[in-house]
Amino acid sequence: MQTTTTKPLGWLKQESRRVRTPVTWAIGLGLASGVLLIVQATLLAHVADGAIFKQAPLATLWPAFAAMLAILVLRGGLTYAVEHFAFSAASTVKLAVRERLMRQLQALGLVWQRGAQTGDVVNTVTDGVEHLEAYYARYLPQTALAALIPLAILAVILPIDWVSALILMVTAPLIPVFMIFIGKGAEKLNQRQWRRMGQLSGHFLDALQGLTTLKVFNLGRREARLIERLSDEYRTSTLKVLRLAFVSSLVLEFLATVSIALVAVLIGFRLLWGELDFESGFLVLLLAPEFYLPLRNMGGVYHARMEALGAAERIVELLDAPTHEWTGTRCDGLGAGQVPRVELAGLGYTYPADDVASDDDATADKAQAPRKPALDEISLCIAPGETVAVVGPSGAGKSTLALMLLGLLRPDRGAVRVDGVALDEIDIAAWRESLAWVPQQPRLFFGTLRDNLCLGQDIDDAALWHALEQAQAREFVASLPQGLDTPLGERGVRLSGGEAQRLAITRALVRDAGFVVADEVSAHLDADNERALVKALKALGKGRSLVVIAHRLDTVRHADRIVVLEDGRVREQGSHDELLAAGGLYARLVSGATGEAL
Amino acid sequence: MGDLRWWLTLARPYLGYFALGILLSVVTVSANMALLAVSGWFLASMAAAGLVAADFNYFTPAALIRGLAITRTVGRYFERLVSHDATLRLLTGLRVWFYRQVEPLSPLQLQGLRSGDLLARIRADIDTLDSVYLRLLTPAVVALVCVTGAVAVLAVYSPAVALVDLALLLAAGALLPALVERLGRRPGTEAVEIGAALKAEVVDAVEGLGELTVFGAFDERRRRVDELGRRWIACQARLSRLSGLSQAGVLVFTHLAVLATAWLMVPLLQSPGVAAVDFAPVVLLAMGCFEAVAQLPGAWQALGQMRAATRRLRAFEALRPGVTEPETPVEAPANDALRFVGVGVRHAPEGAAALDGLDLAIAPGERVALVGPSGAGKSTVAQLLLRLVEAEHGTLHWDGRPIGDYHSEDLRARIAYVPQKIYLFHASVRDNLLIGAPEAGEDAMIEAARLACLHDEILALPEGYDTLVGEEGLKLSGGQIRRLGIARALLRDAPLLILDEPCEGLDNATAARLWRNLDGYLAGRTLLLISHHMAWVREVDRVLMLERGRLLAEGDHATLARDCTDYRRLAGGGLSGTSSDDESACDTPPRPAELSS
Repeated sequence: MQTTTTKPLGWLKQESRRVRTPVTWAIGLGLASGVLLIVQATLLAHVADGAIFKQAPLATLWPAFAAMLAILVLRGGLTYAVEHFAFSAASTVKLAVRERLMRQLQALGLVWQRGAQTGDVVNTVTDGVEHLEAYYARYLPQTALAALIPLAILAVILPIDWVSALILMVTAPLIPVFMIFIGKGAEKLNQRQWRRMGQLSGHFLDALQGLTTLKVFNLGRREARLIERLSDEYRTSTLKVLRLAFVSSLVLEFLATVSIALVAVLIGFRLLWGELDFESGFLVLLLAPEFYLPLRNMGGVYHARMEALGAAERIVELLDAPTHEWTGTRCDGLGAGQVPRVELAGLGYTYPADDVASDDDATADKAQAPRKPALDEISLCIAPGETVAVVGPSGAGKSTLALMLLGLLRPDRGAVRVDGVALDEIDIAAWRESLAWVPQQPRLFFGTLRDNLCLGQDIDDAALWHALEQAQAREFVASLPQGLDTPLGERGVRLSGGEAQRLAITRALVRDAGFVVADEVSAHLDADNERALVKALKALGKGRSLVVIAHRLDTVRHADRIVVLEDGRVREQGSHDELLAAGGLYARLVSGATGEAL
Repeated sequence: MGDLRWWLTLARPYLGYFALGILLSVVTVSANMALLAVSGWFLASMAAAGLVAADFNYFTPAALIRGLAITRTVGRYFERLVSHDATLRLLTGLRVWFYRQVEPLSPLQLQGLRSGDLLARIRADIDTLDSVYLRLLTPAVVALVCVTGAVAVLAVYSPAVALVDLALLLAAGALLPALVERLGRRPGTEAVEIGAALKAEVVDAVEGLGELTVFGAFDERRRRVDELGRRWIACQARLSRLSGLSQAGVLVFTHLAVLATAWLMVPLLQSPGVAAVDFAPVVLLAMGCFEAVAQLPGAWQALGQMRAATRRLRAFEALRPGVTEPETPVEAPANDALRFVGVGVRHAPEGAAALDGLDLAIAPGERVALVGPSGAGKSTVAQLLLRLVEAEHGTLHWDGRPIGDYHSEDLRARIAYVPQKIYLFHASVRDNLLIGAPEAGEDAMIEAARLACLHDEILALPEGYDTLVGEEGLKLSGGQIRRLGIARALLRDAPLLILDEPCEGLDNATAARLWRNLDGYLAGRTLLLISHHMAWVREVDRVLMLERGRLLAEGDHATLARDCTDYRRLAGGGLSGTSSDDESACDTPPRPAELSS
């Protein structure tokens, strides 16, 4: 096995452990059905012999008919049961794997998410997991049956007609040999195919999301051609894979069909020479196709296995990605409503090579090798209840600092300490309970406005309206036709940047967290919106520690302390007046500002 | 059946492939039936000849058996190849068809789609439709042809056998599938919908990972995904039970037919005129013709899923594009004299008016700024010019003719537009720039990047112009994305430049540098600037102030700052927070109004 396939294959096998029982049932019942089939064929041969050569009337043949009828009903029930067990095996695995993938997404964290293609990941978690079904529901039971049923049939044929048995015995092993031989190449191709499909769907999502852009640049028609070309390339490459798969089944079918024809012809001659009685010969003829049937099905099943393997590769890739999990367990003094003292001690962080910092923090030179640390030797202390404004030119490391405080990034050097305890030792869930975040571009989730404010918590409307009031969002929410029930997200109402941010502030307010990190929207807002935002942030700072990445002079002026970052280091800190008087970077930033961006 | 007709219309270009595939399939299935029957007859005849030690011409049947075996195998190979090729071709056609359906819709109509849902639509739904040919159409036609042939052959031996077998074939091929389809319709539809909902939920979870983590809401999200996954599987379980039922049903009917045929044939053999050896081929043919209907139950089951997918895809057909092209467009405008007369726009039929009786005129070569509080309708003006929305009232003249007389592509060819939200494709910086002018050369592209103050920063990227900008351009800063959007538009070299909030995310020094570059670039071009950035607004020829979709005031910056309280209030956010230098500009008496016309 190639190294690229051993891992997903090993993983698929490992997962099969949890479904051993239903798979065994599917195999057992399938085998029972196979044995009944042999009995049925024996009875039919007996009837045929009686009818053709002994002129037997129905009166003597009816017991055989009755037995066949009973077997028939029994086999119907077994077929149904096999399908049931196979399906239940696959669903167990699918549920477990999807659950694990979702946990893994959580553990992978923000740095990973920014480098990942959403469409690809979504594909793996949804359709990719679905593709596993083929392995557990079809491949596993059918391979076992492909070995067992032919053996059972052979055991019946061998005593009757050793020549036919020999033909079957010689050709049967060739089938799996050919299958493996051909399948090896197809497997690799198929994995590439699955990847290509991910890229194709990524491209579609991209084109559909950027539809308006394409349109205003008159590129709509060009894009349609591009989609056509890519789809067509996908078709050609898929056909390449299919051709191989079909050739493999052609070889298998050819082997099987020609062998049956050979068996039929040879039996014919032995009948002609009187070496064999018709009943036995007819039985062999009836059983020969059934001997090859499970083996022939293996072609299709093998294809299903390849598909599952392709999906498994992506799944394993996700599951094996390095995670940033927090293992601390201490939660002394933390909790909702508590206002902690937060300390940053010699904090340093460098983004991994294939990743660059967040939205407004990344600058060109960040992406350059050798990589500069995004944060370097940051030491700060945020007293309970204090409002600290962080300012600095773009690329200074402001957003990275915010992610660090939120426990979304883990420092390379130094530590974040909460009430004197390093974040590493703290139960991260407990720390997050006392945290709230106002991102610059809040994600509006699919659901109602209420869902977006509560985010799973149970909060009554009165409290929501109160928080909306404080966040200066009451008016615009009340003006929406459906109020709190207004649908948001990509399917819902569009909000302006200022409105979205005030909703995010409301979200932080209802959470009643002691420590809030806010990334002020840097976009220009008109005067009314701006005043509302500054007021909302002020309300947010009441009774909480607030670290605000500030872009507005008004916000900065209201802060207890201003921290000026540059190149990942703290350049200066102090109050607005102190810093102005000092005439350093802050003073320069202020003098260059028009009030929109600091 | 309407769905099927729709599908056939789309499939028209590939019907030749489909017909060939079906033909090959018929050949394959018939060869298999014949193979079984001939083998049975051969064995019985040989045995009979052996018993009486008679001579028997075995060459012909033996050769026939070999020939049929080969026909069956090779036919199957080509049938699969042709039908899969045809299906994939059709899928390409469907994708392009879907894109073309969606493309003319207005941004507002498209808003209704979530990205995860869109993905589910265009890929999964379209892929679901491959069932129509491979799993529905082919098996149906093959069953019809082969069953008719087999029953006709059986009728030669015994009409009773033919009738009973026909009844059982109908039960297995029509009755059972119809039942299964009926029962599978609901779970099938539900499965497609739940699958799409699951996808959308996962998109939310991936893209909102940071917030969900901080707010401790990811577990809740995970539970929802899990719940949807379980519901999905519950639907699939119902479908799987149906599939088990139909498999079992086909098995029972097949062997019942064999039993019935044998039962009816036994007394028949006693009668004169029927050779005893015929028992074997007749019984085996009865068994063989069920291969022709074996695929039907699964096909009918797929029908439910196919219908749901078709409905979802066709939902877009019902959406009328907001803007319709004229049947005989006039020649492209020669200049950019724009005149709005009483223009009213509503984004939703019952929604508030975005523009409400807007009157304004822009002369070719003029530099105009549109200002106003958010929701005043500024971006709508740009959307009107780009023909993304249509005016409900009033007229909009471009070079003296109503805008609807032109082909929209001719108008867009004259516009270089920088939208408020810039979309970066998951492609290289170069490809993203070339969106503006796909045919532009390297020099022109670099020049545009220079003008947008971006060239040096692009060179500093790990792979320069070939650097991939990740999904939604997350790897660039907001200011860089903005400038990329500007460079993209400048590269277009169009006479009318529309900038919607071009300074957002830019620091003041960069904004100032950019304006200096634009100043030269704008010679001979018309500028429509939508911005709050006072440093820029101050520089244009004329400022138009909008409020609630109407023109509230116009004039140059100084005049408005002196005469218009609303303008001062609006600009206040920009002025009050700035250095003392700016603040004084507001308090000192305005400079004498410059001549502007």
